[in-house]
Amino acid sequence: MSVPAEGQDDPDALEPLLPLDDVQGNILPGFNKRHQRVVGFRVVDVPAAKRWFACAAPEITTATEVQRFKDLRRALRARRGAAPTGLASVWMAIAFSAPSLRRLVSDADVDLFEDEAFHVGLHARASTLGDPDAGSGIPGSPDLWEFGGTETTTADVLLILAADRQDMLQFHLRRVHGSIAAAGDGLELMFEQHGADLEGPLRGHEHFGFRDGISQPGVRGRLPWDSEAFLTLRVLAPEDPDFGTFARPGQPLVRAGQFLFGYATQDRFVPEAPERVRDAPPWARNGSFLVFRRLEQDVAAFRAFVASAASALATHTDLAGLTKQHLAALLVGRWPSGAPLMRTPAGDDTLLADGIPANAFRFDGAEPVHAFLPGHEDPFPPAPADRTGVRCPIWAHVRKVNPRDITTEQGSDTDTLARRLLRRGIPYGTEFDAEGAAGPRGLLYLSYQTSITDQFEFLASSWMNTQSKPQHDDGDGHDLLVGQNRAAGEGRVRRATLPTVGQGGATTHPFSTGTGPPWIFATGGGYFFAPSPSALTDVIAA
Amino acid sequence: MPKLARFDPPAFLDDFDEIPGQREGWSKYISATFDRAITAVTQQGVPVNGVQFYNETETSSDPPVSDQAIQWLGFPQTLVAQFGRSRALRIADDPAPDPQSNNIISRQQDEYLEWQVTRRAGKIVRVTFTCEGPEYWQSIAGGPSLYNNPGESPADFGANGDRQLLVQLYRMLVGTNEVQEADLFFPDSPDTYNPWNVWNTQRGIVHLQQINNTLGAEIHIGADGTVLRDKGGPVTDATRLICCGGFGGPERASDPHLGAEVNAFARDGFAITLRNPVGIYMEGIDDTAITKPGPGGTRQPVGNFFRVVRPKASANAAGLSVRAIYEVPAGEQGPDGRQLTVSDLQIGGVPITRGGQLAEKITMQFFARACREGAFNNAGLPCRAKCCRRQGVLGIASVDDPCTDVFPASQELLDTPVTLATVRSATGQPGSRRGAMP
Repeated sequence: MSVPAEGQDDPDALEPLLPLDDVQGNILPGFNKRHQRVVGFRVVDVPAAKRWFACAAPEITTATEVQRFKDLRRALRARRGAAPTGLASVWMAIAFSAPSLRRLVSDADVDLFEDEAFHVGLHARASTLGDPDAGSGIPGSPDLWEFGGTETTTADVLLILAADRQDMLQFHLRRVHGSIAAAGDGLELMFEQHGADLEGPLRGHEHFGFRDGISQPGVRGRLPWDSEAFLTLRVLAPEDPDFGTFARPGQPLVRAGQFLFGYATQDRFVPEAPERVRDAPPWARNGSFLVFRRLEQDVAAFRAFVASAASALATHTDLAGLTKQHLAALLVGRWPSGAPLMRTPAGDDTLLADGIPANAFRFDGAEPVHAFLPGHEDPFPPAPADRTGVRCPIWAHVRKVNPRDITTEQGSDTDTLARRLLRRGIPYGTEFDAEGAAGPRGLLYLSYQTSITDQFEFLASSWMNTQSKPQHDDGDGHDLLVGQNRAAGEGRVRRATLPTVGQGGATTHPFSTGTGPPWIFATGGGYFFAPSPSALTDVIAA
Repeated sequence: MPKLARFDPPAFLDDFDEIPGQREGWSKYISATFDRAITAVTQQGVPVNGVQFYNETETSSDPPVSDQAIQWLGFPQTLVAQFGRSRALRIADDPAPDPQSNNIISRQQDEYLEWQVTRRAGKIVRVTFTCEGPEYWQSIAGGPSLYNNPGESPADFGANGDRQLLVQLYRMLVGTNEVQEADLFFPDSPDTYNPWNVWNTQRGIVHLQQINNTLGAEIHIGADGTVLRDKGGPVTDATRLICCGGFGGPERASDPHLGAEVNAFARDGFAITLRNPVGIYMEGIDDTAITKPGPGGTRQPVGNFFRVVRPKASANAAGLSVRAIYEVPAGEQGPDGRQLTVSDLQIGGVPITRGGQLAEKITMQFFARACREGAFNNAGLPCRAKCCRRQGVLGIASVDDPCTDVFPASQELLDTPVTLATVRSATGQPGSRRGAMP
């Protein structure tokens, strides 16, 4: 298999040269900074707002800048043998709601986006995502959201600022507010939400205590400054059968069009084949849809549930000794360190929590032994097959959102590639166990994709919130970690069945969440479009 | 578990009770269809004692028995693949000339779910869904099968039907006494039931009539799915399997999924059949995102507007819906006091303008039954077909067809020479990207 010489202008190119100077850096490769601030604005004066967009456009961080910064950090770390100190930067991303683009550009242009979810907005899709009804009084219902629960409380413009240090972020934010005022106050502040990586042993983890952000799709495409190097690092040797379809074990290669407008999307059947470019205005090229959901996490409620459910399940002979820690890991599909159940089902193992081992597993088949490029390895026994979910339940979060090689109700596993998205979330609030740690905490869920309907919403509504999808079996269930159940008469109870194979043969053990308060629920958000820097300058600010 | 005494009508429908000998005739007809499917498997090269598909009236299901609902969504995925979702929604609602069947006016809804939209004054007042197989209605009509092949009509097994009952059921389901017996049979062959009659296409909906939506297809796909395949390695992926085995529509949501789920049992050595009563069913509708207008411009969740009309509610009918109507109940008014219609409803903030939007929310299912795990250890057979793209859509082709196989054998891929460009682009320094630092 060869990499054909593919030009930047060929939308069907398998590995297109990506113009990273014209892609926002939080889309690719992603900010991943320790401190972030999500800021929502309302456009109150279109000409003044456009003036600010024009002057702020150079401040929007490009993918080139983020990529080169990360490469510099990696080079310093390699040379020094430790993480570099003093290397810091501040980055900014921007995105627009559909109604704001109608005012800033035109109805006709915005109508060209084919995605219906983007048009109607998150507040109108809350029911699709399983949120409780407005007026129900249940946490998560849109009328209780702090922002984004109605069209009028949805931000027109979303800024994401990211920095290595909090003081730098504060300084830059003051500059942003100052420059908006200087441009004529075209934007009115609606909300500011700080996000930060958790401290100490929870660094890189979410509030329930699990390491987050391990599995991301491998975006296909080549670097503009070296046409023979890929955006996503490849570690498999050319002789490995997965060489052309995986960047690394567990990280399939996915066409750029799933994340950037203007490029071919993923074919449903053949991983390498091009599918049509999504409909959007021409200036949307190199842009992406941004989903923002502020998800509050009730750590005490989560812990209480797993303790009580584990205790009840442990009364079954096959599950004697089941601990709350183990049940929580079954809900996630990983241990707190990030080590996957598929590789270490009996207990956590930090050796399997990082790098290639952390993500090298399948469900329907065993992970093969791979041939790696020099410097890469996975020295541990490969994960076996687990079609029926005895090792990692069918309803485990990691399996619900990414069933990998399982045939789903959509058909071939290749369809699953077209559901993947780029997660850029970060926690907010202080650690639950920290002293004096009162106040809300949760996750600022941020993701980039070119179809909100077929990617983000599909994963939530069709798979996480549904018992029998993507895989229907005796041991299926809702995603108990994040999923919702708003079916009439169900009382929002989510159900799952734990399969075991004991001395008496295969058995299933059903259990459910009860009707108590949810441990994860939305408190704000919105659907946005993140334009390319050139579209910001030439179209939106013009 | 003893052998099954007889195959019941789909969903345990009771229409046959009024026709002497009809239940027995139906059972024999379904049994013969199973036997034909089993014979077809042996004709593909599976030895007689290696056939994993069985007829439950002839072979018992030894415990432990595992029943598996295999589910998919009801909107035609092939149309979405061909035209994109928006256009597919526009196309799917209305019957149109079907090139697969000599341009007969037919619904193009090929996921074993068909529907008809009823509008009044431009507003959708009702969407009627059915997943009743044409064979069932053929049996009530009596007479020869469509192609007059001996042994392929229920009447050949004593299910002689009752034309009066046929007309009576049509009138009840379509809601008009205009239906005449002659309307339901071919004008040039008045003994032969016409599934594409006007009351089942342009002017009404009674049962499935898209050319591939048949019970026979379901049984044959179940049987074909039990055949293990090998194409430079075991074929397990849903689409590759259907292409290799040459059964069903590869771009559909249903057929590849049915085949793959059955095949997963087969790979574990199970004996497999379809659970009685053999049929295709609606599991239900996901109406959690459907809203109606509320006071002050708000939206409120709808009640249960999805009404199953066949079979009648009973304990053994759970999960076996074959006909349902989606409509707003009389008396359900909007904030302005007007009777609401389906057109006043929204799904995820988007107004319902097509019946297909509801079909997208309906989960379909059929039931496989597996037993005797490990009883078989068959080797995979070579492919008897392949898939090629025709006008952008996957289609089954003979292995000898000169068209390009979309899924070449793994070995063919391995035989592709490694080029210098491949090596250059893949052997960057570990942990870095060559050229990343200037």
